[in-house]
Amino acid sequence: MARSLEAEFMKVYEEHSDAIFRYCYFRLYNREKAKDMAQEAFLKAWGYLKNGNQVDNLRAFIYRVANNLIIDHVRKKKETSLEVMEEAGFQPSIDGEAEQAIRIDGIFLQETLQEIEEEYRDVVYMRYIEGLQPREIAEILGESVNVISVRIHRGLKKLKIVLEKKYVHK
Amino acid sequence: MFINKLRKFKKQVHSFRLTPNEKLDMKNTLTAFMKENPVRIENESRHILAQTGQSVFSFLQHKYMFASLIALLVVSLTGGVSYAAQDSLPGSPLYSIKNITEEVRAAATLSPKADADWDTRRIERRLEEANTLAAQGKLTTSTEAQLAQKIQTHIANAEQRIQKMEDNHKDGDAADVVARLQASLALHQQLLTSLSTTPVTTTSTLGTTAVATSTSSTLNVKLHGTERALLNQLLQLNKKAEKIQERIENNEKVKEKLDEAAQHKIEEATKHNAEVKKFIAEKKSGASPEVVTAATAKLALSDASLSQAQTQFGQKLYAEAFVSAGKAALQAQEAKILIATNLNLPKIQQIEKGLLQEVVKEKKEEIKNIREDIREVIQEHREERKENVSSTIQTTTSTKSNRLLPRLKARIEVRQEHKENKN
Repeated sequence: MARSLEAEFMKVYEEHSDAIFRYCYFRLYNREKAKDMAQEAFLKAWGYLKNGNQVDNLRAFIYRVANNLIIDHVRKKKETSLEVMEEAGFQPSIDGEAEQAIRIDGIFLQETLQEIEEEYRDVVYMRYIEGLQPREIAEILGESVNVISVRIHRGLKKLKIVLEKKYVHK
Repeated sequence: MFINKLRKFKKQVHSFRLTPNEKLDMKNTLTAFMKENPVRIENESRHILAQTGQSVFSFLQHKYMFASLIALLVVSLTGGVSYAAQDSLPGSPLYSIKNITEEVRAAATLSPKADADWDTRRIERRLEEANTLAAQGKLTTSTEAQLAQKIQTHIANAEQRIQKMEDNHKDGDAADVVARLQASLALHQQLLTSLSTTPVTTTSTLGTTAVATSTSSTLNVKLHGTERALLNQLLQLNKKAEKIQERIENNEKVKEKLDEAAQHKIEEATKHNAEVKKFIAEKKSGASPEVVTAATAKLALSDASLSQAQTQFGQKLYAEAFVSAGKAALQAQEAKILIATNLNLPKIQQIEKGLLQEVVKEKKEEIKNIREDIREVIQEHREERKENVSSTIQTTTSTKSNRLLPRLKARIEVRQEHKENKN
């Protein structure tokens, strides 16, 4: 049983570590911090599981841990202005041409996502970019499924406007 | 339409991910953490397993399991890879395999004498590696420290075995091993001295001599460090050898069986001498002439000691014969090490020389080609100019004026027309 839990956990890591990292990145806009945060989320999740606690949906649970970590981090660092965050913005650890390409992509995605209010951005991101179910998102954010469904609906409209604008200009 | 844009956006976001290295780092941290913090239920399940008695892996508890595992390892590791790894040097990917095969072989030896022999052989191997690396100019401080560390471990192991042999009253064996240890360490020390005093002799036509001497001077510093450590080790070994020798002389039992021991020793030395002769004959072509001369000289000494031992044995001077035979074996071993450790140096020099000559040849050809190209271009240019000059002379006198005049006339006409129109 223990072995199967470990295997399941590692499977979730293999499949979703990139997504968790992205989720952190598009909240913090700092590659190193996002990496640390994603790692911390997995470690914390394991710490919870190894004590015998039951979790229904491991993926949603790790998102939730990551979400809480980010909220804590942002609260602690409230003095950091948006400009400073943008300046510190993107610190890719990859070299060469790839870095340039990712940097431009990163800035573009950041700009696009930032045009939507945070309340809608998170749900739309989780629903349409990472493919989470409304009830999973509800679990992660600690809201009711109804609230999340409404946000998704409204957020989608906003995303539509932003994407139409962005990709027409491109 | 929007779906397409969303899909494109999603794809862009998804291309943003951890690098493989980052992912691996994270995974390692995570698995380490998981190992340190296992699930609590695991203990219960182990408990249950213990109660049920026989487990699927019970065959692993079989008393011959270790031996069979070793045999399996020996079989699997004596294949092509481990053979190829025999000559690998620190820093090469095969080197770890060399270490493993050595460990396996060490585990497979049966007597303290065989153990100690293998330990001394491993010391010799490390010394050979150090010398080869030094000859290649690749002996870094860290590799040197690593090798020195390993040599220390092997020496410590060998000393333990020697102690064991002494405890078991096998002074003859112990003396053998000590002598072999002495031989390899002493010779290594000599080699280091010769390496550090003679500069690296890669003479070349392009000013690389400066580079060669500078690397040899840094090499000297490194070699001196090793030398000092070795000297210390040698002093200790000499003391040990004296003690054992003394014990052998005072041992009544050994005295009684001295004729047998001497005979055995002479046989051993003869065998070893023959082996070394064969080895030198095989490897001669790879070593420099000076080294071969030195080795043959040592071998001649070994021959002399051997014949001396035989005459002494004939005169029933068993103790003396024993010592002489030991000396012969030692000298043969020294000759072998001389060749083994210097095998690669001249070869590399040869290769380097050959490479340099090739490079010089290539460059010379390149320069020749470039010169020819330049010459051709200049020639072409000259011819062109000649043609141009002759043609311009012609055109300026005839064609050019013929071409220009009608144009001028036409222009003047046009201007006049304009004037007329204005008026």
